[in-house]
Amino acid sequence: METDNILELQHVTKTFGDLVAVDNVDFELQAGEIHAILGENGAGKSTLMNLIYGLHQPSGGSIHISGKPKIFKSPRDAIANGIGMVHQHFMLIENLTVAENIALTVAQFSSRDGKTDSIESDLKSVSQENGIPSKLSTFRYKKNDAIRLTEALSQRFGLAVDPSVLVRTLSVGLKQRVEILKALAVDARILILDEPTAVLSPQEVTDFFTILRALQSDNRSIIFISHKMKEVLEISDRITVLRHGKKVYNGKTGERSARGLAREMLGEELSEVERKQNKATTDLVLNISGLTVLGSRNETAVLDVSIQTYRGEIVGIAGVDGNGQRELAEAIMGLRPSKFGTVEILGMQPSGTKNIRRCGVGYIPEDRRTMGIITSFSIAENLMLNIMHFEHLAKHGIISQKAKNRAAMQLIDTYDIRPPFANIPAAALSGGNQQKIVLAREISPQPELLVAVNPTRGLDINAAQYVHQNLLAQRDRKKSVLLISTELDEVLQMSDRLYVMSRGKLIEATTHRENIETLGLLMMGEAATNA
Amino acid sequence: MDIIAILEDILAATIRGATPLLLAALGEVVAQRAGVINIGIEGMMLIGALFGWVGSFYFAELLFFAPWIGLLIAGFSGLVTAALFAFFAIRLRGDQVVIGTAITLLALGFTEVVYVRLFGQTGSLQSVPYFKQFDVPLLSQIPFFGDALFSHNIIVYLAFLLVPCVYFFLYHTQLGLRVRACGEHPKAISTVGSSVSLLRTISLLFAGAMAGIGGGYLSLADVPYFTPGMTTGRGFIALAIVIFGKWHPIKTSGAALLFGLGFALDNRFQAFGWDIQYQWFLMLPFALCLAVLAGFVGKAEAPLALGKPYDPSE
Repeated sequence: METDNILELQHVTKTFGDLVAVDNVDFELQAGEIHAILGENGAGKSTLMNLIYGLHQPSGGSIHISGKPKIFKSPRDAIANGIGMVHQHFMLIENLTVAENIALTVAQFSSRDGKTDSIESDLKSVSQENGIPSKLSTFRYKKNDAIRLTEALSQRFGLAVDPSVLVRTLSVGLKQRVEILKALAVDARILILDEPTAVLSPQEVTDFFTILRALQSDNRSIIFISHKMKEVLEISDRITVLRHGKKVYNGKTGERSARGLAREMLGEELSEVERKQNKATTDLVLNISGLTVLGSRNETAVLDVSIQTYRGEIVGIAGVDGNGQRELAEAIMGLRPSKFGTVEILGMQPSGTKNIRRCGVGYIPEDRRTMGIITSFSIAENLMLNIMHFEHLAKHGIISQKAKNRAAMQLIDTYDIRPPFANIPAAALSGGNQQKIVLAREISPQPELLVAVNPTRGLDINAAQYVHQNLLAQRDRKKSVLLISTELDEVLQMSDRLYVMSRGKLIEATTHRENIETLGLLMMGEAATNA
Repeated sequence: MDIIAILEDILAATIRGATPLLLAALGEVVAQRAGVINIGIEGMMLIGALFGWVGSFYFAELLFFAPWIGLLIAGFSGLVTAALFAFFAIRLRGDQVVIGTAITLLALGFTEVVYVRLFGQTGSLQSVPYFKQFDVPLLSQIPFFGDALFSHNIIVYLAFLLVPCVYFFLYHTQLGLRVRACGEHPKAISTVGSSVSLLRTISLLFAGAMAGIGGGYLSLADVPYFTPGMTTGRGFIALAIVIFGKWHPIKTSGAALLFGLGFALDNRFQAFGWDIQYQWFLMLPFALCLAVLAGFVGKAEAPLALGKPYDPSE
């Protein structure tokens, strides 16, 4: 058993200043196994992987490859030892072609003896008759060689992708494929996948798992990082759970139930969000008809969309990222001009974001760090950014500091923003607490309509629940909520009515969980199957 | 003067005027492709102009070799200045615009102080051995084009020969590919095992050396003199040329010629003796610069990570 361990971590610790990110963790990976690492955001999963990949160096403990202790000063050393990593945010150069991206990795390592031998012989067997190069020159970049090498790799591993197109034109699923090819190009025996399914649609996840199983049967080992329980249970052989930097559980998949694993992750019983049945009203709040919006590259991002929301309901819009959700939300908020169609709020057609907000519209934008808050501003200043607060706290345009701080402390108290100080910069707060600032600012004026885009992205379970409770409270106050999210579970759980957005169009769907397959197909633009 | 002779003269002047701009811009293309905005380029040119000239002055007895040694020193002094930039901008991850501006201001003062210390407050200009006109055999005999294109000093030819070299480097070598990647997504390049700071430092040193040589051209080939502040904004024009040339060496050479034309027209118009104040003509290249950037900068596609310091721990 011990000799099977291709990778072994012993008592690995990593500290950043006072923060212990990884605390005395032991970890074993066997050849040909898929080992899942579960944990909440901030549990230390990514830090642990960065240690294995040489991006950080451990403060204590040791890393062993096939029984031999190793020190990785940089990713270069890790790659040379057969470790490949697919980061959550892809490390691809968008303005280069697929082949160029592959060549960037290969050229640095193909000159080394030994390490890439097996991949070269593999490629030779694939490419004998075509005379495809099994290595690239380290000096010259030859376009055709790189393209043929990429083709040979694609063929060898069954990962089809066009080598000569620019990476930025690829879909997310294909980009991920390129990332995997990049690792395989230098013959990675250990593949670290950091939240690989976060960006994929249900169908793409199925394809992705097929790829993983093929790699597994090739006797490659995979470390699969996720916080999605269902996927972990489906794909992995073994599971390690991290909580607050410590290893709290390790065992074969299936030994613990999903609920048991969740308890390990959270350290406490998971409380479901209470969701009372809802009486639909007929008071129209938002009425969009025939809306067409252009995206930033002048493409049609939203196409002939009509949707109504009523008082006392949450209307969900599901869909894979980049199908026009962002443009739709921005058009509602007046941040982006609409080409055709009308947006009516409470029977009015206000123009400009300021007037739209005056009608009683709150907005939780999709990216809190770039759109939701200003990280270098204090908590109080961020809370003030909403025009409705501002008017209330200022006389003749001059803000009363006392009133500002008092109002801020009240909101900090109500929304439990931690640490509870009005004048510290928002950058010092965790993601969850930053999102609470946005919630406090947008929800406390009790808007008639709340537009929330991916309101729980990047939040841990507790923070996400807090957001959900606030959205539900808004509904129970007989206000209207438009929830646009790429998290299918979230929209299913929260919505009274549900739409799917695909390639700029809206399709009405049911909120029944049993229909998740149909929803997946709708998200991929395969309409008509649900009828 | 007939019209043909005027055209020939303007074309020749365009090429001469474009050369120092092209030299500096080619270096800047590489630096910016690696993700570093080298605003200190004006200062590096000025330092190159001074030390290139000083080099030729002290090695004057070597006659033919004196300007060559001067040019080497010019390139080296630009490189040293770029090393200073690299220390602050890459090692300490400072703001590139601030550091570059500081270097240009520093160079303005420094070159004048050194010049005055060495030669005193003389009214007369000190002449040094310089690059003489070199007619390319045969080619310079071609009517019209011979005089316009092939009757220049040697540095002009070398500068234009460098264009395909830089192109080959950026698009057909592995190192060039990495330099380009470095300006687009430095983290990605570091995760495949390259050193971002090393790539950026090399690119920046190249840019410094090229700016130094561009400056050296001014005091060793254009005229055999140094005067304080003699670059008169050419470094900033080189920056504009890089943008107008869309960070591509061949397009950059076209942009350099356009601005060379600006300088050429400025000189010719002054010589015509029209009843217009000469300052209007002096303004020409800079007005061109403004017009071109206002019209094109929006459409240009800069390297994504341009000007952003790379912090590996982020």
